[in-house]
Amino acid sequence: LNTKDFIKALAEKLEISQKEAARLVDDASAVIRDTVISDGNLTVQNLGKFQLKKTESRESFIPAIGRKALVPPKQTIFFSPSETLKSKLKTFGKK
Amino acid sequence: MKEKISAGDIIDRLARRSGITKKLAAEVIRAIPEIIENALRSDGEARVRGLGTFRLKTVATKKGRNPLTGEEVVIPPHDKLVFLPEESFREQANEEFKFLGIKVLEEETVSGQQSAVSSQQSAVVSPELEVSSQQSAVSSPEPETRNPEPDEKTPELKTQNSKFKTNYWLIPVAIGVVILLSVVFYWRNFYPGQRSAVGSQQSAVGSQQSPVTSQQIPTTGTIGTIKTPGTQDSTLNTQHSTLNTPTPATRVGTHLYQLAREEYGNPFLWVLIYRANLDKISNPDQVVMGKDLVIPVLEGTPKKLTHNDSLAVSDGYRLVYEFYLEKGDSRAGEFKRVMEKFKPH
Repeated sequence: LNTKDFIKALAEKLEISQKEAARLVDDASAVIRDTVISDGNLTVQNLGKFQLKKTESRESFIPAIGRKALVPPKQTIFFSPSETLKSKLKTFGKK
Repeated sequence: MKEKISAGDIIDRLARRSGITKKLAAEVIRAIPEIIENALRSDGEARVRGLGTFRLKTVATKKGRNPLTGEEVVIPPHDKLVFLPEESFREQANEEFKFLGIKVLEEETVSGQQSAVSSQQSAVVSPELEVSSQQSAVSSPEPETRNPEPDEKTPELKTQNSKFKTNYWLIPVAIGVVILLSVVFYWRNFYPGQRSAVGSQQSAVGSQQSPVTSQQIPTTGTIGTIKTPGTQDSTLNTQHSTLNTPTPATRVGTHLYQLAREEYGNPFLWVLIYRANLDKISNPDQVVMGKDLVIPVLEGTPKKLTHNDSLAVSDGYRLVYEFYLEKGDSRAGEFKRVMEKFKPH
């Protein structure tokens, strides 16, 4: 399912125009992104939990140059699906 | 950071942002997981614009262990829902770090010794006190001409300080390193005789044999002219020919990986040089200074190694691995992994 299909599906579901649906998808994504980044975590019902984890800058050995280097800090986005979604997909998988 | 964001907050924010009613916003927020779920069922994948891709990943049968009893259990194959954030999402999360790159850390002790040695070489041609006073004036820009390592480090530290908010401790470290280096310079220059008997002999020889150089240095009291011109350098080298013979390939203070980058354009291949010069390089970490090194020729190109080349590289990493293993160095494992990586299939 690509982004176009997604927008189409949303438009059909809410009985709105595709143009409007596209705008709403973008806005919803932006809200989720901003919330995850500003608050560090976000739970969306029936979907799951987004979490932001930070790796501090650290010294790491890099074999390419055969010595240690300072690796900059990094933030990674983690997602864990909600139990309801997991169980729904599980029953499907058994079929 | 708030403890938890309720679903209502998200709906409020979306309603405000899009200028729609809360009712519609709530429907959107509710509809999105549903569409994702349906898509996962039909295609196993759902892409949401601006957010990322949700995908069902098949996990094959694997062995696991019951964490409570330690019993081995077989985990049957199953699907796992993974989320791959879009690149823009990842970039947004790392906005504040986007200018930071990997910084190579220098080994202070080794480079400090090496630069001290090279400064001693210059001390050979001129009276001791004069040189040491020059050294003190020069102590920070000195590495520019003699030793490329500390020079690279200073700008690195500066950029780090401006960007790493948390790494302000680097400033005292940098100051400490500079002080340490200058102390080493002083110590070496005031007691050059302690270094070796050969050194003092050579200083006598130097002042007799090359009056030209001993004149040159006192007149050049400034920092810039400390850069030894090619002719003077060669006289120095001939004087020291008993100690070591520099090759055109090596420079003062060149590390193996740097040499490999210059020779092959790929620092990964430094082990080839190490492998070919085992008798001369005792420690792969060390700076190779003015040693007569053999640079092995590749069968293929650095970008496309032939079977034999890969074998040689893999063997080189094996040697480094064994070296570290013997020393009990924790880096041994890393080299073993690289060794496996280079092994031809």
